[in-house]
Amino acid sequence: MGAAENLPSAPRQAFEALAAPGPEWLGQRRRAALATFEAHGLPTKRWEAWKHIDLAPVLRSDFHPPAQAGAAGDGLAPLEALLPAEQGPRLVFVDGHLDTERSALGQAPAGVTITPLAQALAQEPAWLREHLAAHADPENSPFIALSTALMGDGAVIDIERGAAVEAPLLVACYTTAAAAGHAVYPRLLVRAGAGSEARVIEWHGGDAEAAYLSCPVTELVAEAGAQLDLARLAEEGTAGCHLGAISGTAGRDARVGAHSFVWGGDRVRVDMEATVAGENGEADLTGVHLSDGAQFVDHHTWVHHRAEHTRSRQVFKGVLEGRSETVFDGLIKVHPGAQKTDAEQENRNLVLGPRALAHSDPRLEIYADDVRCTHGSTVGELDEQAVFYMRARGIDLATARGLLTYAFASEVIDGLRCAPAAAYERGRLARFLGEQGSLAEEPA
Amino acid sequence: MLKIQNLQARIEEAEILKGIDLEMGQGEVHAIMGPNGSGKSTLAKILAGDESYAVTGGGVALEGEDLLAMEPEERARAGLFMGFQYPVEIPGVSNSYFLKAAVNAARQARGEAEIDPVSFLKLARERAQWVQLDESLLNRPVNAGFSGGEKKRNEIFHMAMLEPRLAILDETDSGLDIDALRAVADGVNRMRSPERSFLIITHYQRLLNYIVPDHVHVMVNGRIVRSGGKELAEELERTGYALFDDEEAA
Repeated sequence: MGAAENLPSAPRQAFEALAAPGPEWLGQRRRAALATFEAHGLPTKRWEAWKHIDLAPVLRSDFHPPAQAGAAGDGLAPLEALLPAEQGPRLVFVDGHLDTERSALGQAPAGVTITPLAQALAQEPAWLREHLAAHADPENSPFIALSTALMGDGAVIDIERGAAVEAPLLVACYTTAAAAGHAVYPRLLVRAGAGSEARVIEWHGGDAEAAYLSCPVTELVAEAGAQLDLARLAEEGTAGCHLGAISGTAGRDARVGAHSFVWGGDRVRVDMEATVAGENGEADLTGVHLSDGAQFVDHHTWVHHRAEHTRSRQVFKGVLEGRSETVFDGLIKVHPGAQKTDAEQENRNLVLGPRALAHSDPRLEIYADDVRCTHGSTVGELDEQAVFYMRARGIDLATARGLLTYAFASEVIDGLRCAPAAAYERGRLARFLGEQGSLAEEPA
Repeated sequence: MLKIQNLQARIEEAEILKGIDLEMGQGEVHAIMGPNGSGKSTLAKILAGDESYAVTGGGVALEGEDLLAMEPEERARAGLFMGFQYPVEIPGVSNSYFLKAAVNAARQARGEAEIDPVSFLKLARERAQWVQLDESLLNRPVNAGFSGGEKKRNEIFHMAMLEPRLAILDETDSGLDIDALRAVADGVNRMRSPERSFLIITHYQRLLNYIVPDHVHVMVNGRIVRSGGKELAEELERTGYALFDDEEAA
């Protein structure tokens, strides 16, 4: 117990050591978040929302951000496959520090302002105070609380009213072996002005074998009539832990989309919250996770309908190999007065590893009477009839299984409104199946 | 081409095939007719390699090779095709991708190069025409949302693309309207050749009006109880299977 008792003091020490806490209003939010964290402490198995995760690997971290960036080597190479540098602006962070050489800000499309958080805090545009650390609620998760209190550098993206931005904006966070035993708290804030349209890719990676903790928190604001899509690709190193959150809000006639793709990492949890605050607004949460070995991957969702005629869709699919364990826990909450809500939730798990385990827990809370809410959840194996049908046409067993698995997961990826992220994920999926020996190439 | 000797099989405790003997020569069309539950579809599935059934005795040779020792995909690559009674829906895998993979698996087994995409598409369009399969179904997921008739046309289309040496059609006619039945029969008739054999499994004589068999076998209760020429099918149409139930009982 000795170590555990000392733990809450580690975040406080880290907080007190913060070099640049930012403007006073942010300092207040940080302190409030730290107080929230300290009031509850770290989750235990007795916490309903945290009962499945073994946090031991997470607690190897001292919660302090690394003082300086290590060498990323070729760790950022996947970015070239994801989005070649010439295709748009990007912000790259290594161990929580802005990497100016790898970042490219000079080529932001018309209507887009993309700024490192530290710089945004110095300039302090009027809207920043309204939205930064204002949506992701520290009460929802101790790690949102930690990440808010200890918020490091990150990206602030502002899409002008009416701007339609086709090329995705990229924010990448890489954690090196130099950060092993420490933690990073990247922050991303995206505001899509009224009637605008944009897509953002958030990529996370890290050195294999480096036991670090990353607690990225992203806040998305889609103002009236805006369309905002975020794809978060969590490809942490094999010993890296990713306990992050995405919190989105959609105004009137707006749509906010958040997609989580998890491939890699030791303990990975992504808390996704979406609030449809304006009439005729829409939230779209999707996820795909590919797990293997002793990995643990968790998607928790909270979708709040707070206005009439709002829609939401949640589709999460998991492919489990080895003795990996996954959780989907998804809430649809229709608040009083949110009549004509149309909400769907679907969670499908394909359990391929004989010792893999998938938990699926859909939750509905409905406080309005004229609504349509559906949910479906399955944990299963491949359709053996389909496997036999394919083999009877001459396709070998491994390929038949690979193709069916590919089809299972790519159905979610196909719905992604960000072509480069979708293409990249399909490649990752094919590689995952290739490593399982079940698919020699990406189906075209 | 195909030689079945005293084949016996069961599923769980139920004995379904009780000693089947059947010999098919190259280029021949054989029909197996029989009532529901006679074991005729079981025979087709065992030939294709369905592992839900346990073969308890006898053997099957395809061109002298031990068919039962081969994996389902090896059988397909050796030139055996099975047209399913209930074609399986495969969401997320396009019909043309699936078929290209199947065609290339067969070509690879023969030591040939993969088919190039342009030739594949040309061939696919031509063969789809044979069974009047709507071309748009090539790009849809395999059988997903297809009507019953479309699924069966798709089976024959797959057969036409794979050009097997032995095709087994398991109740391909069941549930088909007359147009689909004709389209399916046209496809099969175009494929008939001195090198290719067909084993047509059916409950009804109707299909055999369009695909005229060389030999007809009647299967009842796990055994072939009578064999003859095409006139046997016509006789069955008049008398039904009741007659054979009596023979079996006797």
